[in-house]
Amino acid sequence: MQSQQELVSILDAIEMGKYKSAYTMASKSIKKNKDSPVLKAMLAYASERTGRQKEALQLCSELLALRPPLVDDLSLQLLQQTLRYCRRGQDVVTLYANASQAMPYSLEYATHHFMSLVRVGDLKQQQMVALRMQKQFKENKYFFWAVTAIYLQGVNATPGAPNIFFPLAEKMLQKAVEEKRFTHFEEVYLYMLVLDSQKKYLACVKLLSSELATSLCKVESELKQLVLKYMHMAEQTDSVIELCREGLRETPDDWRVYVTYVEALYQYIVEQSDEPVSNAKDTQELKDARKFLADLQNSEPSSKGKGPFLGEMELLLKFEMVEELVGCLSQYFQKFGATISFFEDVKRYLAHVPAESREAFVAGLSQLAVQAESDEILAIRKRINLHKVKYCVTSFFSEKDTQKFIDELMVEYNAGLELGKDLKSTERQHGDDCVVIAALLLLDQFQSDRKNKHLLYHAILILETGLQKSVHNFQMKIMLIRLYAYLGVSQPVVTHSLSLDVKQVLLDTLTYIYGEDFEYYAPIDVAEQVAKKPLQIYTSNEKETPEMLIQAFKFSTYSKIPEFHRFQKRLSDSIQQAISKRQIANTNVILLSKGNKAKDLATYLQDLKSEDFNISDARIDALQDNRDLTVGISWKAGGKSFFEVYAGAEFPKSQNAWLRHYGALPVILKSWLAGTPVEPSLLAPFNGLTDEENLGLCLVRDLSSAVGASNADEPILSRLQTNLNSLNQRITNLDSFESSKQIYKYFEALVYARIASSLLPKKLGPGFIGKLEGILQQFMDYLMALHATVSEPSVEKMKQDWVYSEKLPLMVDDALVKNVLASVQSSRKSFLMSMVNHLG
Amino acid sequence: MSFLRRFTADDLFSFNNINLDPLTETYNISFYLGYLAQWPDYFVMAQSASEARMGYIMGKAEGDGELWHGHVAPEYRRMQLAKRLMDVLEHISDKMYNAYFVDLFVRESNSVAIGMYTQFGYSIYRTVLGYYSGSGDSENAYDMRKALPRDKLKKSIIPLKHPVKPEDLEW
Repeated sequence: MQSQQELVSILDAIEMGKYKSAYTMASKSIKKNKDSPVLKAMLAYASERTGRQKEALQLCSELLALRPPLVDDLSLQLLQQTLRYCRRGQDVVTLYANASQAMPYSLEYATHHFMSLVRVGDLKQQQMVALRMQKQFKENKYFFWAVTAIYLQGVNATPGAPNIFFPLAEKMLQKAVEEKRFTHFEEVYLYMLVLDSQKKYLACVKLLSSELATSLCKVESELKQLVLKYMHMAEQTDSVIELCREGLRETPDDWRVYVTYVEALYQYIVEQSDEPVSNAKDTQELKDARKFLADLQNSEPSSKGKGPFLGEMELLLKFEMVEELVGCLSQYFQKFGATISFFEDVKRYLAHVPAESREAFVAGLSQLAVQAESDEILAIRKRINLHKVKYCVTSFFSEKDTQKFIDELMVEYNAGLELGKDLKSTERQHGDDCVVIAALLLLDQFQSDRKNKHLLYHAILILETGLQKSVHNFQMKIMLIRLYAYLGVSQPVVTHSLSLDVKQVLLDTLTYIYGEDFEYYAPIDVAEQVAKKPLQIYTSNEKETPEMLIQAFKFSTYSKIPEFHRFQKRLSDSIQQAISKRQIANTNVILLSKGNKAKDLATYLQDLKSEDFNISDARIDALQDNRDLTVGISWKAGGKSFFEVYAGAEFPKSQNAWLRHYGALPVILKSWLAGTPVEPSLLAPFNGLTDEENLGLCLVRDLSSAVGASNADEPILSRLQTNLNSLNQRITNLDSFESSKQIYKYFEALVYARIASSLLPKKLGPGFIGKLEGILQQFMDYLMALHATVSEPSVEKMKQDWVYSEKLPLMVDDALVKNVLASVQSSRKSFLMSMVNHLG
Repeated sequence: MSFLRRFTADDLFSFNNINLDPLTETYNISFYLGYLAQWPDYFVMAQSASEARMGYIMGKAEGDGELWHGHVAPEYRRMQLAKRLMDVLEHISDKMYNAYFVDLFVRESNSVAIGMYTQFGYSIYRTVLGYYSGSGDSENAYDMRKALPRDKLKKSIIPLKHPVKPEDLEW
């Protein structure tokens, strides 16, 4: 027997985080007490914490195999922790399934068993265990756990196939109502979800209007909203209209109710009567609706609120009464034109102002904008809103008009600066939007003159100037990041993206802004760091979200459990995660491809999990795109967002082909290392790819298709030489993302050829390396020649060449121009030198 | 123009324009989902007509005896919106949780927010020293409170004379 003192000492060491000491003590003790489960559990824990995972897992498996099973609390806890650290969730399930079976009256072990099933996402077993718990411990809570598990199985069921889960859950809940098991509104919410999933909207209304729901729901307004929602979905138009009116009389600023009201009216007047929408204007119902809204507009206190006015515009839009809509827009500007959210409020209606009357419309608003406001800030806000409207509805500005408009905007901006002298740094300057519109105007010009990169530099200078005065304006930062990226300038992309402070879940939704294709124009080590950063959030998702699901079960928050499941899946199947993993793998392969790192490359490829990269087309297609595109400004009526305008193409672009290519690549290299034939399915994504599109991948494909065959040297070398000659001719200076990308692609091809020379000795003869080195040297000479062309133009020359408006120099200072120039120059030089250093 | 609704886990993917604001902190997954798991109706999102997320407010009920209160963490910029969100949370603290008061923490330097909460009926109850401490910087917080109808004598808002340290906070 081990002494109690020994156990206490080991446990103390564990609790204090002295794992080495715990390991030493436990190893010593176990020699005297070979069969002690608690010692084994302690040793397993200490082993894992000191990096001896294999040893820990061996001990765990011995303890899991014990019969009768382990039932002491301390051993179970230690083992559970150890297994969780080792990511052996299924073994934790077995651990507590055994303990619970051995001690069926232990609520603690049964709960642990259930929660271990939540962690691994085994819904069927959750259902079984919860039902068993309900039977054993007679608590309603476990009944609802079981129903939740059934409901979630329904959510996960194959679409289109018969779904037995929802009807089963409904039947159980129906019975539970009769048996008076409901004690919390969250249980009613679960019932509502079950009905909703079967499109039983009327039943939802009935449930939510029942005494059960009203007695359990403590927030009356929430219940009302739910009733209205389902009534609308059930197309109970009469009642919806009535309920909306009632709701709006109480809270005339609830936008959602206006939308429902208008939709219900449309259903009632047009869809259910087969009347053309043009006839709707004269119907009594519409006249009543307009009168209702007019009354709301005139009643106190809603005359001060925007709701009834916007509600009217929504109604006019739906019923295609454009002429009156335009009139309402003008009135709305007069009344609310000085509010911050004015433009956001009316943007959706501005697109419907007829093209032929837009000029007159803007002229009309201009008259209203000059009317005096009570203070200067309100007046400037109103004028800026007018500028935004003008930009929004004007589909084309000539070069001259653009210049004139920018001049006006700059005057406005400077006036705003005067008023904002005392603003805190966390506040935006009043005229920030003028800077943004000015930049957008330049980008619109760029759209029709894509060779004129001066326009982009001009936009950058304006935005950088604005940012100096409004250091936290994230819209300016995002625009700058993309403009620099388009020009292939990496350093300011890093600086501005760091200042956005993208972290936690934002890493999934916003990384694309600076991370997409970053490796094509940044130094390799910097690109690797940027690619690695978002992975934190996926690790957090694996660790934290299951624990939060457990919390939701513990607090019986059934409405949140399906949400948390969806959240977990959205992150685990995130497209950004797939992109980042591939970027990291590729940059790692490149960084380890130097001759002196052959061993490291071999270890990296051996450890690489093929299943993370070699995923089916169906899985790629099903990846979740959580990237938030709404942060790209879209102020042009019916026009493109900023992202599309500067890029002249889709942004972020579809990555499906890229994901296939760069998912297959590391797995192919792994096969090269192992000397095994490359599976044809891995090469399938490369079919049809040409050397011009991606020389590196084509070389990898061709070298893989006949591993073992020889005499590939000459064709490979000849293709590398031909492409280098072509590159030499095509790109004589580095001036954009596109040129950087082409150079980088060629660099990649050389790297893969170099890896092939060491991993495929049978395929490539002994003379290959020597000849390859010759081409490498030529490429490095080419890079150095490009490096020499990257020189710093003078500030004066830049202003002369790049500045579009003569007014700009007054606003943009020379130091800023110099900084921008320096960052362009040094980014390009470091990109080129990074490749030279790597190959040298 | 906006409407208020329950905050959902999916909102974490679309609240970027709010969280990119320098005065809004972005926390880890457990923080948001923890609030949602325990106080689902105490976490409210304001969404605009164009579906943009405008602001949100998180709340929880905590404390013992007469210190039973609603604690809110508001994230928004516009005053009118702020008022609506705060009203909802105060209503929930009162009706649903039967709390004595509502409190919130604000940076000592954030005079804009302090002025706004004062207008909403909040007053500074105490200073919490070095409450906001990040990479190298440290700032005091004001713990601002507003009494709810249950605290008839408004005992909960009588200001403390001395500042407290974060470790002295009750919860």
